[in-house]
Amino acid sequence: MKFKVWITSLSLIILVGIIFAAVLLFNMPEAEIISVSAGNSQESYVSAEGIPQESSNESSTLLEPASISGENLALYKAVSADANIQVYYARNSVDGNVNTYWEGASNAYPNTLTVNLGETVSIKTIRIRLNPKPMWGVRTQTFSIAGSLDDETYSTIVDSTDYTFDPATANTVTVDFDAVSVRYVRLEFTANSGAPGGQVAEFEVY
Amino acid sequence: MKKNTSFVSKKTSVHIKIAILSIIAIAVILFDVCLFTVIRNKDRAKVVLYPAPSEIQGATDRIITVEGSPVFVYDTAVNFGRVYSRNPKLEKTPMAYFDFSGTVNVKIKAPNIDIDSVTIRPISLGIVPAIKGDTISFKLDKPAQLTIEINNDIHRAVHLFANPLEEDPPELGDPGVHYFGPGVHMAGSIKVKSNETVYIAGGAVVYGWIHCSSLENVKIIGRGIIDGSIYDRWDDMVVPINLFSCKNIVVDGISILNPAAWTLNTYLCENVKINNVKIISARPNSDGITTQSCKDLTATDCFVRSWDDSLVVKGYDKDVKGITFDNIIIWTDLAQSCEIGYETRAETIEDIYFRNITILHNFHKAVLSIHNSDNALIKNVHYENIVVEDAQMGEGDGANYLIDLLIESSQWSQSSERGNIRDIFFNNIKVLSGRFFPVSRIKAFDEDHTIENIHINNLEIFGELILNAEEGKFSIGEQNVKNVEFSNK
Repeated sequence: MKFKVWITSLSLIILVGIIFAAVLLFNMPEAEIISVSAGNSQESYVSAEGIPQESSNESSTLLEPASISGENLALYKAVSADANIQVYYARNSVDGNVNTYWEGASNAYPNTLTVNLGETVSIKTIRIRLNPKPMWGVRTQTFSIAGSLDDETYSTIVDSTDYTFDPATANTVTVDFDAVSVRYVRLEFTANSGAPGGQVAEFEVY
Repeated sequence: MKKNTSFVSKKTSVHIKIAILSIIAIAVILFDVCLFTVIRNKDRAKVVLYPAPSEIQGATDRIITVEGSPVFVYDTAVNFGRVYSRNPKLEKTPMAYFDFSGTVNVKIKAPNIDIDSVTIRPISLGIVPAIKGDTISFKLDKPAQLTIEINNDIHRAVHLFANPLEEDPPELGDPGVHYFGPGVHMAGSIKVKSNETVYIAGGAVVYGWIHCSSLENVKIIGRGIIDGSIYDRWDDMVVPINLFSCKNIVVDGISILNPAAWTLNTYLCENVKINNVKIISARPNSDGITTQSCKDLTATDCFVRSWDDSLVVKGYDKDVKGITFDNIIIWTDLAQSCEIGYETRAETIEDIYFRNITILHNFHKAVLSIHNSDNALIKNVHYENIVVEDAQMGEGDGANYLIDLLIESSQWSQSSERGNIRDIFFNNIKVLSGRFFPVSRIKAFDEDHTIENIHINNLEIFGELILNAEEGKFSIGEQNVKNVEFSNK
């Protein structure tokens, strides 16, 4: 009698189990798959003010500064800085490429950048260039210009002055002064509104 | 007597019947439980797929589906050069991403390839795929960042980023949100102010950069891609995310591909949280996550494959304190994996943690390194639970270092004063396999610029527990290096 109860109840369990499994198998759910619709090409984005922003094309016309008579005496000459950050080495400032630049050590003014013209020559113009691409934004840099014959004693050529660099004017600053004979020309930066250190893409001496 | 026997045998046969029925009943119950679990997981499974913009050319030699639905496979630049060069030759590798919860089936087909073997990294996840002809399949039950190498081909390794579902993503038109929906965006400079969010939705490919200076409470989030491939390395030098003097910054969920310089840089920042960021870089100086003179920065659950240092801590001027990298997967094609240096002009660089880091491959220079080439005191640095799956250091002009602790001037030095290194902890470091048994170096500068208190616990190379310098091929400066201790606790 006892055995019969066992056998019946076990059989029942098996039966219920099989039915349960069958029900589950017939109702196998699918994973929920959401496929976001693909965007179009050249979408504009919506700014934080909710305004769609035009797609910008960086290769738009870049301004070239007016040419200066005479030869750039600093081009490919020996140049040194008291310091630079990251990969923005001093030699970038005399490589004839306005896309590469020197940047002085951050928040460690003054930053100095000195070019050795190789021999004593008469100079009357300094031109400092930054990358004219719009990504460079307007900035004000404060620097003085000094000259030396021996890299030891420097005398001021132009006192510390604020200069505005603006891509709208080719991101170029030209400083003319009375002709002076020097071998070394030094820029001493004490402020830059656009970065934590002085920046020079091209340091040109005429 | 006879009657009695038959009674016993009858009783036995009933016993056997009950036993058999019991076994069947238990089997049925177990089957039901399994079935129920599978169904519950299925029920919870949710997959979000992000088809790519129509003009993006994807990879065609790897076809991926999740739960039967196609996942777009990008083809992004990588670099197998093992010597630095200004104009290296680039290759491409497949990359795909989706979001999910629950348990999902992933299938990868490599058309016309007879698949003999597959390595899915990190190996520690223990994912063993089923292989059938030119297709493999496997299950995922939690978010993962994987590389899938078919027939040991690392050149076309699939980089698969299975993200968690997004939580409360912003919507188009939300105030303070720069919204990049699915599609290609020629964004250029993305000008962000304090308290704003840049949202890059899955399916978006943004050509542009986010440079922040002196901002607070900025978020850069989403599932989409910032792509630097249209920018020239030498003419544009665009760092996709460059944060100067910022506070309370979150970077979460996005991918950054083929940057034209460094990838994600933080300088003089405080309280930065980087999470689930995926980086694949190929061009010169395209370091992965770089942090200089920062305080309280944590990077978690990230994937960094880079053609220069993968994770870097530098001290450009101000002190460095509280930098944590946790649960990071690294593939270093060039230079170091976890580097402190070379620029160490801060007074102190301290409390740096590299935790739960898996290096899938390292081909060039040291895996774990401190290069003190300026004046800093570098102290309290922890390397914990580090696994190097494939140690190939020393290719090209690299060096076969596992650990490299060095005080010496370098081409990057700007300070004439040398620094010190103190209290460096290596705990549970494993090198699983590699070409050569790696060497390690601990070298100080002079008697006033020393390396002291180096604790190496549970270091295992190719299955061998290392308990002294000789076993581990360590070269340790005889003078000026003090208290180097090997242990197995």
